[in-house]
Amino acid sequence: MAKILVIEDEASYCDSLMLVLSRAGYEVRIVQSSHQGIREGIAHGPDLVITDWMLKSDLHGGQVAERIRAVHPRVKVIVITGYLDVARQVEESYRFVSEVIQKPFHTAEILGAAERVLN
Amino acid sequence: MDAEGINILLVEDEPAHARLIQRAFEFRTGRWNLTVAGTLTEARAYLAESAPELLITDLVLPDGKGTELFPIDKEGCSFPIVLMTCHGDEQVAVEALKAGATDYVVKSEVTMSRMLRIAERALCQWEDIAKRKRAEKALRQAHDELEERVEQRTSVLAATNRELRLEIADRIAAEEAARRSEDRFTKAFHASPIGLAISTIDEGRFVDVNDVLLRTIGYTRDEVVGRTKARLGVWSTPEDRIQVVRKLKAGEGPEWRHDTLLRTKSGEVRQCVLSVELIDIEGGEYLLSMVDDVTERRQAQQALKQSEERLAGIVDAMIDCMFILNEDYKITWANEFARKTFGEDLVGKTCYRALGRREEPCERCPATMSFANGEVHDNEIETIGVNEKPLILWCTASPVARHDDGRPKTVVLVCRDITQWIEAQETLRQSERLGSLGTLAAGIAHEINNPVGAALLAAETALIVKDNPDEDVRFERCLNNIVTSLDRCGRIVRNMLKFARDEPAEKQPCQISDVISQSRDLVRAYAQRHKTTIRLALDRDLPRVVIGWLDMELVLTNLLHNAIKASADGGQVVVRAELADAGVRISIEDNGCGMTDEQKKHAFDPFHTNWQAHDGTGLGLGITYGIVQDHRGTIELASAPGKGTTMTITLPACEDLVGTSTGLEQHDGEDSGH
Repeated sequence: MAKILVIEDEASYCDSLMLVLSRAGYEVRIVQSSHQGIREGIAHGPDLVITDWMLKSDLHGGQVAERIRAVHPRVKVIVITGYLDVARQVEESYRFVSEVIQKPFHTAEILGAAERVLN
Repeated sequence: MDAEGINILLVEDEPAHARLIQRAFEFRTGRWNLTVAGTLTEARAYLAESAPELLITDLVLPDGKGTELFPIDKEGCSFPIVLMTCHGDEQVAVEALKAGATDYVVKSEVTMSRMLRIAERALCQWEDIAKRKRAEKALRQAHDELEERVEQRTSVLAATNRELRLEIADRIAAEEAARRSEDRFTKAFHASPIGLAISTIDEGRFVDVNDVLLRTIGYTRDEVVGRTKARLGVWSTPEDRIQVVRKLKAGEGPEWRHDTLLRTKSGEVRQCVLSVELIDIEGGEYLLSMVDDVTERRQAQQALKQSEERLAGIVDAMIDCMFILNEDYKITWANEFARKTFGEDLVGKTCYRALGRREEPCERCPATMSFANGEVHDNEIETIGVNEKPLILWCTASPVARHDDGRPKTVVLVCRDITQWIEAQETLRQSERLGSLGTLAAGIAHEINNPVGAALLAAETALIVKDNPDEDVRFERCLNNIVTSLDRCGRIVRNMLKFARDEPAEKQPCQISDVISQSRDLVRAYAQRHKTTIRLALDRDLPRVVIGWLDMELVLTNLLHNAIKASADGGQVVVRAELADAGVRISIEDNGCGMTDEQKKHAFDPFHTNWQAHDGTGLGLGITYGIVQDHRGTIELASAPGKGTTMTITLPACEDLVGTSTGLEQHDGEDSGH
């Protein structure tokens, strides 16, 4: 059973993401800040990190994932974002990110992406 | 005694001498009757009887001296006397002559024998004397008569003379006066500060000129006196002179202050004011020309006039209103534009009545301040123009004239109509807002995408759990999530529309920390691109402030943008919020490039940007300043090149601390996340 770490500071997303991903059979942990995300990621070494790009701290999703991958280099990364220009930044500096999902998205999109990345 | 002969009395005591003398007369007997007396007594007896024609007497006689016979009145003697003296008595003889003797002889035989000749000579002499005496007498008589006549005449003459003398005195006085007047004229002529010339009427030949005129025309006296004006050519237009002379001759009175041109020796033409008059000098009529050289004065006047015209031109061409005010705020002068803007009858009115239609000076009147401290002051004054149009004036007052102690006596008030400028600024502010909308679009897109995404997820989740009775709570939570998220979308859109339409921001009491967090979120992506971190250091329990949320968000995002832009890669921007005296102080500090003094000076200018292009929010600090002012707050800037910049905003605390809910709901949840 693949382990997924979700980092999302929008509380309204957390509930739904937990439900949808759990029902799909993943082992899901959700944290709401970048620092919790890094701690959790390093501690457990998830298979996949799904992170919001814009977090309410000085670090964004890409930087958080980068730090986790520094310890666990095989961790896959999916970025979700409400901003339009994240894909470009990812393309330039964070090529380890497998997919960028633009908010708003359907549950099917995140499930599809997770399945693609993990297989 | 023979009446026909000449009677001679001989007084001689010596008979021999008597005979000798008698003999000398004898051969002329008939003609001479000689009587001899031997003593003085006999002689006196003869003389008492009759007067001889000649008396010859010896000096020494037995009873006295012959001279005793001389009459006492020398002049009254009617006969000649011959005195005979002995040798050595010449001195006596001289005395005798003085006493009345006609002649004398020194007694000797010779002289006695020649006595006839001596007698004849004496008679001759006597005759001469008698003639002379007669003549003298006649003369004396004539003289006396004349004297009398003269006296008569003299008394007449004396009277006439007195009159004449008086006349003469008058005349002398008059002559003295004339001489003095002539003196005075001469002195005045040469001392006069204006040029003077005396010339003949017909020819215009110079009789005299003073030094001033010589200096004016550049000739020496010798070159001028005796020459004619025409010859010298000093009249630049000879017809002028002819004209003037004609008028004077026609008795049209003196020609005063006539503008003319004079040509100098060097050919230069001087502008002169000429007065000409006829004067009388020593009975002759001459022209007195008075020449005032006004060339320099005219040039100065011309220059002054030109300068004044230029100044007046400038002042009237100004599209600023310009007034001069005295200490009572009374307008003593106004330029054309001022009269056009506020009416023609400005002078004498007070500025506050004429411009502001007020009963007392405007509140922030710069003239009041200028009068108080003598410095230049300016301020914005709202007023009403002549066509009832509201005007916003930028008024600058500067002292013009001062009292002895330095206090201003008058100030010049220059009022620039900035109504249109302010309108333009408003328009600009709106277009800036619209422009900044685009810049903020990314942030706002995120703002909207987040709740939309949340609602979408919640809705799909609700669909998943709807049939499962165990998930009732979750189902309801999903629906609530959807409602909240969509409400948030709606709010964002509404705010954005308001912002775009530049409606006055709705002010409400807010926690400033919420606005700061929200603004930070909006610039987060920008900060990331610039590899700049934003740290918040916000005190808890700050009093709430009454603000237009979006306006303040705009201010903060703008300041954050600037701070990020100024920072180099790896820079840090620190936002602090803390308690201030009567409100909240927000500071945004960067460790970026900082600003020079020149940049700082213009930082708040409405149209100024230190950036090459408006790549941030595009909002100048000017508009930021305007918004802060609108919130009754202050904004300050501290910066130095290389030392970073700190912008500090102070906002007054909300007076009504009771009740009203805090800003936008979503922030409550976020705060708990930290």
